[in-house]
Amino acid sequence: MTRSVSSADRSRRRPHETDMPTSAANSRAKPPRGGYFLPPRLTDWSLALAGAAALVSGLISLVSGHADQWLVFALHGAAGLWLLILLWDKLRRVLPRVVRPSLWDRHTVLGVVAILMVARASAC
Amino acid sequence: MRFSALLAAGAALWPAQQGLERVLALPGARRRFTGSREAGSYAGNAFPTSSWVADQPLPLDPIAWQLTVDGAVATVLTLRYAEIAAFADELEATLDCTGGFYSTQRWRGARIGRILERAHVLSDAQWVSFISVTGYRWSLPLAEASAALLATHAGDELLSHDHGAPLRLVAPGRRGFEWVKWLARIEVRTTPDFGELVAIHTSWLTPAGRGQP
Repeated sequence: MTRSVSSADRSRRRPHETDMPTSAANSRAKPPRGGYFLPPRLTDWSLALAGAAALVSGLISLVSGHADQWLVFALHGAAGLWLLILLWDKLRRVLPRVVRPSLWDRHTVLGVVAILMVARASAC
Repeated sequence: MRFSALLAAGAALWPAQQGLERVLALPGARRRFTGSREAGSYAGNAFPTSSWVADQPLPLDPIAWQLTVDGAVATVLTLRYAEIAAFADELEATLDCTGGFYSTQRWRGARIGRILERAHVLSDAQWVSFISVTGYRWSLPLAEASAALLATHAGDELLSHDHGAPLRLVAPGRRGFEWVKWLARIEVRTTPDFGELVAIHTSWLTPAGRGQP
């Protein structure tokens, strides 16, 4: 959703700001050196998928104790490593915006909380 | 292509990490495949105590205590502690707690299969539910239950109260929260017990679970 901007506002705008909504501006932010490992949307959906895999395998592991159920734990471990790799690519993209309050929008807090939860889960 | 590489990298990194831990003899190499660390194996009651939720029953008097076996059986049994202990069966099994430790013990008590023989399980029986004085319960398939043990001892030591005295379930291959403590009743069933999924979260609210007489 866009909002109207006066010429006075525009003249006071700092160089990094645009007339576009913040979320749209963020999606067109300059990529980090070396580019993105994955397209941003694929990174986000992969994070969701890896998180879901970690959750499901974790729940199944609660009732798994036979040696022949090792695959459940292997999948859980692999999902944790996927999360770490994806988290690295995600942070490369969003960290410049997270550390600059002027670029925050209503999704920022939720996004940071989600990243912290993923990082915490990966560390377990 | 990169996405595939990511999946492959994650899948390859996990066994690589395991191998590195073994080569460098890192503490993680001593974990069980579940991720649990060893604690107090073959040391009687020395292994850690934990409860799935927060059951805190009062200590049970083994002299007065009785175990009831009922449900899909031809003969309802009421067994005293001394009768259970007299079986003197042994089973070496690993308790793997979801709290992060595992402990291997030589458990002593009564093979459940021998008790079920006395009760003359009916032909349509399929499950065996193990019920604690607190109301906490968990069930096993009949064949698996028959191979499990009702433990009175951990090694040469009488089971302590915190470890479920006078009687706890020893179920090889099952996680610790399935090894029901403070057993009071065994119910043979023809159908699965889905209510146990609620019972294991609410047993701490019962009078017995809260330590009331």
